[in-house]
Amino acid sequence: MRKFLVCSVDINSGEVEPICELDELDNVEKVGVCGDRLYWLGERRSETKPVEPFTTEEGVTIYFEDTGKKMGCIDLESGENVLLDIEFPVSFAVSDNGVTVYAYKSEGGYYFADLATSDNKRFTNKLGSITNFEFFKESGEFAIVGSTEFMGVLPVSKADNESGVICAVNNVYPFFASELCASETGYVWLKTADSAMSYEKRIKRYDLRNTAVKGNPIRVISSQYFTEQPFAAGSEIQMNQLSGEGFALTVLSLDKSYDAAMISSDQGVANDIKEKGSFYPLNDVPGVSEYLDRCFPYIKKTVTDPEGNICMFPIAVEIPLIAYNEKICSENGIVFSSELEPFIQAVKRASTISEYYDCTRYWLVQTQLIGYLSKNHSFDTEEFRRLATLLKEQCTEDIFKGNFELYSALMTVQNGMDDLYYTSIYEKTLFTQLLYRIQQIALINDENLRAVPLPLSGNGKSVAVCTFLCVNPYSDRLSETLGFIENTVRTMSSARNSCMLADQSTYESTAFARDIYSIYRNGTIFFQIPTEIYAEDFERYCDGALTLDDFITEADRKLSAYLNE
Amino acid sequence: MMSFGKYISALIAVVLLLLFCGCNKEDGNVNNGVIEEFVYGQAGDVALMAAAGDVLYTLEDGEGAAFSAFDVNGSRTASTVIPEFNANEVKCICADKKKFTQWSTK
Repeated sequence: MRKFLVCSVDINSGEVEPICELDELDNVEKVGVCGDRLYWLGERRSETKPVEPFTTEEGVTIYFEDTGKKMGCIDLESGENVLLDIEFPVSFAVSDNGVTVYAYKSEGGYYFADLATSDNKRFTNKLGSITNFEFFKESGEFAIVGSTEFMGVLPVSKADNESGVICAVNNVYPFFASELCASETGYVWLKTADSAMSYEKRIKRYDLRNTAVKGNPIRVISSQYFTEQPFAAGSEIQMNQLSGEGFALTVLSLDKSYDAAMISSDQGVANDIKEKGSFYPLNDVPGVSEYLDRCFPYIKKTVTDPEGNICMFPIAVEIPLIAYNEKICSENGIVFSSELEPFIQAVKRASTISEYYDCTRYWLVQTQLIGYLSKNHSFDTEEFRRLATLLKEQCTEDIFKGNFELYSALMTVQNGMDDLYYTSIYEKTLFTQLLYRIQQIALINDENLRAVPLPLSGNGKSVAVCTFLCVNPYSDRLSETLGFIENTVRTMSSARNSCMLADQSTYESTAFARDIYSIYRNGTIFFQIPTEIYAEDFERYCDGALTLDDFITEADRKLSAYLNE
Repeated sequence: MMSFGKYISALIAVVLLLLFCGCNKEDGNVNNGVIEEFVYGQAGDVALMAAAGDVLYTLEDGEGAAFSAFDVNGSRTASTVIPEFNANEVKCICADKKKFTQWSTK
């Protein structure tokens, strides 16, 4: 443990006045003055303990990792330091009204409390874990960094359990507590990069004087975490993650207590909900139809029903792909193909040359099975027998394996970091799989990279996973919800490298960017069959525990039951 | 001379011009559209920052602890270097608007 000296510095005179020493701490993360006291948040790592996760009434489990955080305050007159009785403090912020603490409790999850009346805990799991928050208005609005629930945006909220969260600014990436400060005049300052993985950060100020959290959020339900969230500048959103069962029940029972549902085409429940759910048509929401006309045609086709109703609004699409160093692969005779067998040969060749490649068996097998099921409703075909035999015999874990350092190396060099360790890896990297759009876009300006899709199934298209927002027609706040969709469309219409817009001038001009564009243009979306029906049995077949005929019989039985349900 | 030890938290008592002018007291519009961003081009490699009123206070990375104040237009209005500190030894800072008067009169 270390000693920390707390002192005041007069920036005009340079005069330094020691106030007190803090000991028995490993780190001090934040300080703030309120009245005649200075509050601090620090870490005493030797006192960490396991914390039971909390499960909400909706069946969602909230996890908390104790890092030994402690909070205390120093009397600025006497220099006396007192440790505060808060079991798991996460952060705190000072306003003219006092000190507000954000903390965790095993019974109830995360909560806000005013330090003066700490019995009054307002439990809310809308932010999850955070690194810092700071008030920017006298009416109680604060900005947040490091929230596990909101990535790539600046979230704004209030310290209660009723109001939602406004995504005030898009494409900002502060994370550490020290990368946020604010004052109650309405300004928020961030130390932020321009992209998700860039290390080059600048100080930016945002004028949030007119941003108010009113406490009437758009209530969005989902049953999983999404890497890409809807961004609607200024709209107050309350995300509520339910269990899979609870989500399906809420949507199918015409519940009025939510405004929009967020669904992904790879969720087993998504097809049920699309077929049986009831959603408000978005044709008349300003900008929606025009936006979809600007997207790749398969996206509009997916969200439009046979009667021409736009029943879902697409937030994001994702296609896993392989990014490869064109020069290094060419020099080593590695030639990628969109057909499975030559693709496997390319990976096999890489495995004889070096360890600097990343392509996991799991993703290749999943992609092939999903692709097959996108156009077949039975496993009992010659095409499947050929595919299954090939995957079992050729796609083995000694050849198809992960190397997670490669992405870090690509990112480090892309951002001009002088890291010799990663630079040496970069110079040897053959290829790596990139599963998420956000990863792909983060490397889009790398002149050495090219991209190919994972091998395509019979129809020659890559299966894209699409995330949708669906508006509840029974919502008691329908007009505000449609306003939120309009706001979202406005933001998305001007996005760059969206992987949804068909206008190629909205993408970067590198060869890698052109490859990504081509892969997404050649995508297709289908509502996937739950992997529980076949995935485990397929692994048993690959391990020799099931014959191919036994697998086909069992998987077809389950598939038939599912499709006729 | 004071011994500051290796690891220090610093509290900046700072010049404070409580410029609350322009603060919009209206409820505001939830759908407030695009929010303007302003880049502090004059700020160097900032390790830590704090704010009071419209003023941004920074501690720049590097040897010696270089504290600066920036006005709302991003211009540096004050700066001082505390040679006893190294920036990487300062763990966090805050700016206190209410205490300044008291401390500044010392």
